[in-house]
Amino acid sequence: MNYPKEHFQIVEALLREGRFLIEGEAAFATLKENRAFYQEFFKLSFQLDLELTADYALLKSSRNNDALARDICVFLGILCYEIDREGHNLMERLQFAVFSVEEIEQKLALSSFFEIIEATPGLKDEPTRRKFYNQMARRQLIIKQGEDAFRFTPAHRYFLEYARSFSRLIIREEEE
Amino acid sequence: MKAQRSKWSSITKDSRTMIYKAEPDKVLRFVQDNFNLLRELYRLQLRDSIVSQDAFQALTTYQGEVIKKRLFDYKLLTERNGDYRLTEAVRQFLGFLLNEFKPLLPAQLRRYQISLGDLFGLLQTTPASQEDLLLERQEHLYDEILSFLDNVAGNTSQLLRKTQRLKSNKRQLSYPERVHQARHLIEHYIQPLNQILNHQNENSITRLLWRMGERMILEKIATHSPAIQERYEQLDDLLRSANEHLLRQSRIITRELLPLLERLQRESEVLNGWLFFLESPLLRPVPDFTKPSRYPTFSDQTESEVRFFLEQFANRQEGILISVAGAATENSLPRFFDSRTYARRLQAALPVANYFQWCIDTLQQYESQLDAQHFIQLASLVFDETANYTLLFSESRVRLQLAGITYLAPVIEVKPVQS
Repeated sequence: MNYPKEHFQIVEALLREGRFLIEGEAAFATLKENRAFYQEFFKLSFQLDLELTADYALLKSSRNNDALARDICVFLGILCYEIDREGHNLMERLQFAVFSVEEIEQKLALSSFFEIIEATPGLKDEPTRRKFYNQMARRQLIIKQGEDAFRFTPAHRYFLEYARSFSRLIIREEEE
Repeated sequence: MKAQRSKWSSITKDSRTMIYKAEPDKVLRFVQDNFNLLRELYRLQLRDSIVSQDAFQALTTYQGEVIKKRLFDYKLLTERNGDYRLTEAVRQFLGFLLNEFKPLLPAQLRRYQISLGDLFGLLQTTPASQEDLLLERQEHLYDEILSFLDNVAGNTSQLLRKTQRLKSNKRQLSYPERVHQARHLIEHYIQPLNQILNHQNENSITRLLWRMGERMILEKIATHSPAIQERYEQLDDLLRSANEHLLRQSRIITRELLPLLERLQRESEVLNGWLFFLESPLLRPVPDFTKPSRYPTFSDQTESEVRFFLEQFANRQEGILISVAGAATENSLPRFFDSRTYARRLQAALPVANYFQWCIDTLQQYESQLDAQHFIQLASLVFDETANYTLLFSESRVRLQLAGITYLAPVIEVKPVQS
């Protein structure tokens, strides 16, 4: 059988590096064209589910206690809260804005959720957070703009959708 | 100021007679020449419902007295309780020219339901013998439908414009203000308007117009005098185009205006979700996220081949057969996997009758919880360096339990290579 041209890049990115593939990458286009094949491929070979949306893709393994994922949720949750509190449109900011590390550090330092930041091992102090930004960049959740700034890739929506699923849960709980 | 007020008041009274002295085209020319002033007056009234004394003074500071006087002479502007208003017909005309209106509240549109329904009912109950009355009622119904359509189109275009302005944020409103305004528009204008236009709603005006349309088709083929017949045909044409028109308006609302609502809703859902998460961030589940694989997927073929080789024996239905509880205490060997150490142990243990079982036994000496990765690495040893070992595959199977999966792997005997 013939494998698609970017097969190596697709498996390397999703499986080996455990990162998001995003719209704009050649591998992402190939993945989209061969959606059914790759869904079966990852399921049968590695027991992993492929999540493929209009602008990002990742592999899921039904692990729901990943430390990095928790760090990302805490970080994004607080960032969203702060953006909204400052009176900005959070969806727009996350989609288009370039964030400087300094600006983020300031936001976190002043945040009423600072205790949570300190209690989260992967985010507890500035050097640790520097490592965390590098981790996010390796997973293609952010793209660095020089040394001290970054912007989010469309993959951030994966986490926003996750937050929305909580919201639906809360409503259901309230109804019951 | 008081003197000024009484002066204008007296002019207003006088103007009641004077309008009859001015030729209509002269009035129109005045409107043309002073259009900027009238536009500002219109906008003031649109914003505040009236043109206050002070606003009027500010606006006309540099205008000649004669112009101010003519505004009243020609009855373009009238005084009401000390403030001014554009005469209703003039206001409508300017609104039409400028295409700027206040969107009507849906309650104002809904009154058409009653008026259209009543006129339609009257028309149906008018005996065919009273032709004059019939003609008159046809005409009223026709006008009322047209007026409804104009208002709906005006409303949709104003709402659309407001929504677009809100989106582009030309007025530099702060975000909460925009959210507030958008909510207001949606709750009080867009959703009710959609209800009025929704043809699936039995009580919508659109449905009423459909019912009228059906009736007109019947009337068209009934026997009437030519004049009545012609009016019915006109009504039928109007109703046909009206339905298309309303469908288009309804589409604009669903395509342009409602997405705004959805965006706002989405955003508040995201925030609510995060707040819920942040209440106890270490206890809530987190989204599924795959770890990068520590072993190379492609470059070192051996490990993945062993994995594949083992996977074909996977048997998920089996219960746990190998118990790891009470395993040997950990000794001084390092926790991380050192293949050379294990290679030496294997060399010492040769010949091994059941290789996979040996791997398990060996690992259990160091790890109370078997690590699947380590097992695979260890199992790779003999496949990695095939030159050093002789492998004998047998038909019998051994059950292995690894990371929740039970494998029925073949029993492999490993011997040193006969030199």
